[in-house]
Order: sequence, then C-alpha cells, then structure tokens
Amino acid sequence: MDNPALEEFVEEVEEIIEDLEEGVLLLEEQPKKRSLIDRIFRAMHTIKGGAGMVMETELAEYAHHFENLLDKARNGEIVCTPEMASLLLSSIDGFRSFLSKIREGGDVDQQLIDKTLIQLREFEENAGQPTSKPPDKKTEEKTKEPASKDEVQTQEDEVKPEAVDPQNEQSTESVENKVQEEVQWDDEDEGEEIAYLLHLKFDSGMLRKGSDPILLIKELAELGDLDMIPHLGSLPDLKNHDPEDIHLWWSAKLVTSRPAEEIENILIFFQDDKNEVKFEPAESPPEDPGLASHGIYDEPEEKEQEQNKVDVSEVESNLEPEQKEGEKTKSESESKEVEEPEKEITTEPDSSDAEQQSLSIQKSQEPAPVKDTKKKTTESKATQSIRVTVERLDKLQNLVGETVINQARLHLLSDKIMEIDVKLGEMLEQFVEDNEKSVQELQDQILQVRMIPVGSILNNMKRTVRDYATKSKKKIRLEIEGGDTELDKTVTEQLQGPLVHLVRNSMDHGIEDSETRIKNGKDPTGTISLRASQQEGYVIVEIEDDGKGIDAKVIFDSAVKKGFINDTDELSEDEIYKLLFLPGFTTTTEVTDVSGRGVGMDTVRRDIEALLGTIEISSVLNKGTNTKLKLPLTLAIIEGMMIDVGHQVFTIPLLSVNESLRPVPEQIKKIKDKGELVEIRGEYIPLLRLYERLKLKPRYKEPTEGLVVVVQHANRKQCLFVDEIVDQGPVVIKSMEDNFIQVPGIAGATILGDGRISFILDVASLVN
Amino acid sequence: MENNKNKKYLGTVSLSDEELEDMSLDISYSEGTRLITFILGQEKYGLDILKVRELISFPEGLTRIPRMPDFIVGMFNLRGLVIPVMDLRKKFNMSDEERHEFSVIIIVDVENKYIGLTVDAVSDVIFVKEDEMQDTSELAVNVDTKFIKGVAKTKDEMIILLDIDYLLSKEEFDTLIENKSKE
Repeated sequence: MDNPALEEFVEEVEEIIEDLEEGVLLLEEQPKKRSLIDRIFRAMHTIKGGAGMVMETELAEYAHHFENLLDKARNGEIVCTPEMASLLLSSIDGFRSFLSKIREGGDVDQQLIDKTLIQLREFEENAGQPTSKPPDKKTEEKTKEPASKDEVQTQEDEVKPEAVDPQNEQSTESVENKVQEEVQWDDEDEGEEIAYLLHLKFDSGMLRKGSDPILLIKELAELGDLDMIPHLGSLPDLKNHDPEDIHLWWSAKLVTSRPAEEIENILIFFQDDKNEVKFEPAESPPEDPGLASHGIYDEPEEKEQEQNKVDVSEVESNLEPEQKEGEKTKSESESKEVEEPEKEITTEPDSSDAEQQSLSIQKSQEPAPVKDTKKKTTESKATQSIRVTVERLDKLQNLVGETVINQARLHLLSDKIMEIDVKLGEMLEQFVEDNEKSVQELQDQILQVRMIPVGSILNNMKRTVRDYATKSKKKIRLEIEGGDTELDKTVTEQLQGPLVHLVRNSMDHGIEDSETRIKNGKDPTGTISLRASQQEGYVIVEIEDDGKGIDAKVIFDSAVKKGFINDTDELSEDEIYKLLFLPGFTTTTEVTDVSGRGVGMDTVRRDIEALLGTIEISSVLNKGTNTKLKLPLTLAIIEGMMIDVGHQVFTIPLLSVNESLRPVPEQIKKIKDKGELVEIRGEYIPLLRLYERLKLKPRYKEPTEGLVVVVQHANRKQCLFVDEIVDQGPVVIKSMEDNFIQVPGIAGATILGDGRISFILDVASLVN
Repeated sequence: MENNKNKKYLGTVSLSDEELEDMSLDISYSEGTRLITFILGQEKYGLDILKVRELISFPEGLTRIPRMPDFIVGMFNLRGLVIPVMDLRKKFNMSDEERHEFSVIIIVDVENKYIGLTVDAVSDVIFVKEDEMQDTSELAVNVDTKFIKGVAKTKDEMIILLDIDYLLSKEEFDTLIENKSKE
C-alpha cells in the first residue's frame, strides 16, 4: 500500500471503527439515546465519505447501506433493537474485512459482506412494518420531510409553521405524531444536556475587590457552550465613566451536561444582596441548533421584559417581528438615548467602549448553532496532536537509547582525560554531567510519548463479552475500571491476546448460567470486572469474575493423575493454582470440564512473561476467580544487575533479584538426583551454575569462591552461581528479534557503557 | 569557406566507435543485476548490491551468544543497533584460516533485519547481465547448493551468487534453536 492517502484513510477508519463499536455497544444499552445514534451515524458517514474520496467505491456503498439504516433510526422510524446492534456490529466486521483487503491486498470476505447486507435488508423489511405499513413511495415521502425536520427541531414544529409548507405539514401530521410518540429520545428526558439561563449583574465595585467578571465567565464557558449577551443600558457617557466600575451586565445561555451544582459553585460568592446573580434551567431542548442560533438575541430580552423566565420556543416564535423592530430601533438609536435592552444590542457597534465591544461581538455576532461550536472545539483540539507512526517512535527511542549509551562512554572518557589533565578532565566532567540531565529528560519524555491508555483494549472486551453472551444465553455484565491507566504501546498491544483469553475463560468456565446462579443465590447476571491500576512502577490488570471459582482439590487430583506431582506433595493453594499454567496440563478435556479453567493457560502465561510480567490466579469456590497480571510500565528500560560469568557480562533484571551472597561451604548441599541446593536462612534453594548453562569457562568452579545471586520468578527461587557482580543500573532493552531471532534463555540485549553488548538473562526460563 | 562550414556544424559532435560502444553499454543496464563481489577462500561470490547496507571492518567488541553454533560469531553494537554476525567461512565449512587484515563485515538488509557477514575481502562492484547468469545444478562448488542462487560468468571469472534471503531466513535461523534443544 504505497498510496499515502489510502494509508491515512485506513488508519482513520480503524479509529472510527473503534468509536463505532463502542457507540453501538452503548446504544444497545440505551437504545433511545439520540446523541449515540448521531455519533454512530456520523462515524458511518465519515467512513462513507472517506471511502468515496479514496475511490473505494465498494466500501462506500457498503457504508451507505448502514448509513441509511441509521438515518431511519435517527428519524425515529426504527428503534434500535439488539438485532440491529448485532447487525451494526457485523457491519464493523465487514469494514475490517475491507480494511485488511486494502492493507494486505487479496479479497474482501464477500460472504460476510453479503450476509450482513442480506441481514440488513431483512431487518429493514421487518422493522418497516409496524410503523408505516408497506413502504409505498407516498408514505415514505411524507414521513421523510417532517422526520428530517424533527431531527433538528422537535418542539419547534408547532411554533414555526411557516418553515414547512402548511399543507404538507397537515397531511403528514398523523404519521409524524405517531413517530414522535414512539420515539421519545432519552436524552431529552434525562436532560443529558440542559440549557440554563443566567442573569449576571455584578456589584459595580466588584473590580476593586479583586474579582473580575471575565474570570467567572471563562469558568462558566468551561462547563459547556456559553452564549453571552452584554447589556449596555447602564453605561455612562465617557465623561462620567469610571474605568474601575462595572457598568455592564449580562444575560447568558449555558448548555451543559454538568450538574447545576457546578454552576452554583462558580457563582456562589456572588449570590448575595450586592450582586444580582441568578440562573435557572431554560425549558428548551439543548440540542436545537435553530434555537441556539437565534435564541441568544432574544431570550434575555424577553426575559427582561417579562421579568421572569420564558419558554424559549415562545421567544423563537417572536423572532421575526422582533428583528424588524430591532432594525427600526437601529435607525432611531442615534437620536435616542440608549436605554432599552433591545436597542442596546443593535447599537452595540456604535459603542465607544472597546472592551465590551470585543466581548459582545465575538460572542453574539456569530451566533453559531450549539452543535457547530462543539465541532469547532473538537477540531481545534485535533490540531493539537499529530499522528506519528510507531516505527518512527521506535527509531527515535533507539536514538535516545544510543545517546544514553554514548553518555556513559563520555563518562569513561572524562575519567581517562582526568588522569592526564585534571583541569581539562574536570571541564569535560562538568559538561558530561550537565548533558546527563538533558539525556535523562529526553529518555523520560520519549517513554512518556509511547504510553497509551490501557482503556482502549479493555473496551475491546465489551464486544467479546457481548458476542459471547448473545450466543451462550448467559447474562454477563462487564465492568471496566481504570481505563486511563497508561502503559507502553507495545505492552498494551501485546496484552490484547492474553486478555481475550482470560475473559473468555471467565465467561466460558467461570460464569454460570442464570438458572444456576439463581439457585446459588447469586445475581442472575454474572459480572466480569476488568480493573487496571498503577502500583509502584507496575501496571496491575485484574480480571475478576463472580462465577463458580476453581476447586483447588480437583486441580490437585488431576495433576497427580497426570503425573505432574505426587499425591504426597504438599502444595499451598497458590502453588496448586500455578499448576494451571503448566503446558499440557489443561489440554485434556477432563480437566477443563471439571476445573473449568485454562485451555492454553500456559500460552497466556508465556505471553505475559514475554512482556516481563507475571500472572497469578486466586479463586474462591462459588465466589469467583481473580486473575492478576502485573506488567512493567515499559519494555524499553529496566533496572539491571550486570554480572560476569566467564569474562562475559550478562544482565539480570533487578526486579527478579532477591539478594546476592558468597556462600560458605556448609551452605552448599548436594542431593542425589536433585542437584545442588544452597541453604539460606533455613530455606533450601536450588543452585544453577550459570557457566554450565551458558557453556562458558568460568573463573571459579566453586560457589564459595564466586558469588551466588538469588533470583525469583513467580514463587520459585533459584540461586545463580556467577563469577562476580560488575555493576547495577538502568539498561535499555533491545530486542534480539529485531535483527536476529528469539534465543532461548535470553530476554534481550543491552549495550553497556563501553559499547559492548550484554545479554539480558530470561529469569523465567532459568528458574523453570 | 572553412569558417562558414564550422559555423554551420557548430552544434554537432562526432564520436568514435569506441565511444559509441560505451554509450550503448549504458542502455543495456536495464536487464541484469548489480552485484557486490567478495572473496571467500578460493572463490568469488556475489550478492545483490541492493541488499547491502554497508561495509565495516571487523568490530572490536563482539559478544558471543550463548549456546549458538560456531558460525554465529556473536552480536555487536552498530550505532545502537544490536546486530548478529555470521561467519560465512564457518557456515560453509571452509578451512578455519585466521582472518587476515582484509576481513570485512558486509551488513546486509534482509527483510528489515540487519545481519553482518564476515568475508575475506570485498573485491568489486560489477554489473551482470541476465544472460550471463545460469543455474547451479550441474556446477560443483564447495558450498551447499541450497544457499546458492546461481552462477554468473563474466569474461574472465566465475562468480557464485549467494541466495542471501534463504541463508538468512527465519526458517534457517530457527533451525539454530531446534538443533540446540535436541542436544
């Protein structure tokens, strides 16, 4: 795919699809939420438009079909049912198929595409029946017009009949009413977004007390869309103008989804006798661009005239005459003393006060519909960030890593120069130290850039759960917590597979069907919780279900049967759960049936370990199971302990190191068939002679001459016999696979201060 | 008279036959491959120059990878990249001569992986026309033929064309590990 426009398109659509998927899943829960349908519609529309631009006509056409469906839903002809959600979700799979075709070539999964289109047609046919009988052209035409109007203005219809041809209006009224009765958007009932009318008349001495209305207004504007109208009535002429007094006051309309308390909080200090500050909900639907665009001129005036709150739709109906009046007054205004609020606004450009002009002009001269302003803000946000390919970031990170290494070399160099010329050496040393700060900062920043919220993959599980629940007839609820926890992009991506696996396990084997759950006194709907949090340089991801749990005894018995352990072995509960991760342990149907866990749990474990993470399972019978993943924030840099074996320096992740010591001969025990053990404070830990494992010629043949490093992986400890410990510090991990292959026993490579390469030992494989 | 003639033909150039031949050589470049040739033992090898990223002298700090066969000499740091080095002499089971001063590492780029190959010396960059290259099937060479794509015969020498993609493929590398685990 060499076409950059196409590439960009695919990337964009990938993002949109995610948004789409999330939207559809939400819509299924709240089928009558207007804003959701709008969101999905917009997404679908963007795909269609984009596809058309890059000449992917088939894709555009495909999107078009679903856009039509959504348009009907938007117009209230169709209510979103679970079937429709399924349909939309399978359309997403269709889009993915198109994308992979574009990206990798080959063919679209035509079967899938056709299937979804047939389903779509069937659905539309079925859905069409209850509302409007056989969809002959006439009724369709009729429904369309009011419906599209309905789309923007629900309540206005009666108030502003001139907008529609009256006859047409009447003839379709019955249909329209019917539709409206059926679809009551929840948004409106819920008051998801509420418009407030604000009356802000501050104490004229406010500025002297150190407050400033502009600050308040800015705060209010952060809550939502704020439209302000200044009132200039009490503005004195220039002679009597005291710049430290406030002469203006404002009416405002604030459309916000935040609770009223937040507005209260901002205004609370001004709700006293000296200030005249009030706010109250307006009785208008907030999502009404028509109102918002005109309303801002009118509501406050109306309000002032009538001294109380006014239904905005009424204002709207008065719009036209008023505007005319406004024009009249404008012509008269020059001769008259400005007094009435109506005139104030129209004469505003004549005003001499520059400050209030700027304020009022920008707010009121371009009365944009609420929706448009929203779009603008998101657009301006978008320009604040740029899209960068991961490869580029990787390169950047490599370069930074290199700089870090060069920094270490500079240290060595300055030491050497110091030996020859102290003064020069000190100068260099000073520079090197200064440089170190920047390098450190650079390194931190580049790591920061690579961090993305883990929520994206947690949210992907919603689809997994939904699809499973629909198929299995189990009722499952997915709870997600801590989605904003950040993790390195690579870690996040590679977490997806194991996560799907674990969630499936929970659904498949953990959560019981509703009947069983009721019998056991549980909520018929099972819950799976995904929780992410950051703890001491790690990210913890927990997958918890409230299902039937795992019976440790059953695992133990199966393990004995399989010959993994002896029935005389004494294992702690933790150790028993660890058996689940043994390769081959769980592949037998017997175990899966009984314990209900772990097809391929060893794969999950390996995936997590490849991310330098750990996995732990705990379970309470009939209460549920908890799987805890502990992952490093980043794969790029770890703290390492550099050790020397046979004159070659290896690095051990410091996280795995418990301690190091030189044992005395009495501590070393040789046991037949079990090799050597080191006794440390009463505990016997197996000894591994690293030089044997690595096939190197060591300096020392006996642990008592060299050193023993105790490492731990999961709950297993291991003593590593090394020649000596060389150093300790942060190391930049380089993948072996980048230019070579994954070598068993080696987790990666790093570059030491002298430019040489040191291999990072894979503790997990050494311990097992 | 002569002056006039000169003026008239001021814009033309006459070329010797030799010069013309040179020009026609340029045109024939469209069919064939540019090769970098190197010496290994007694023979001359060639590999597609587009696969070559750079040539470097033998690095000082080479770190052996534990439990890897001999011909994987180790890994070294090339400006922050960790790059493995394969000793072609050992890989092709040639006599293990001390490497002499011409020892060079060719860094090749195969499927975005950078890998170093030690050779005795790099000799030349040549152009080989399509019809100068031929199959290896009936040729006897010291090297296992599966790593050889063909042979190019130029005026005075024979160049063995290495199948670098196969030599450095993931499949080939993976056998390194399987061999190990069998041990």
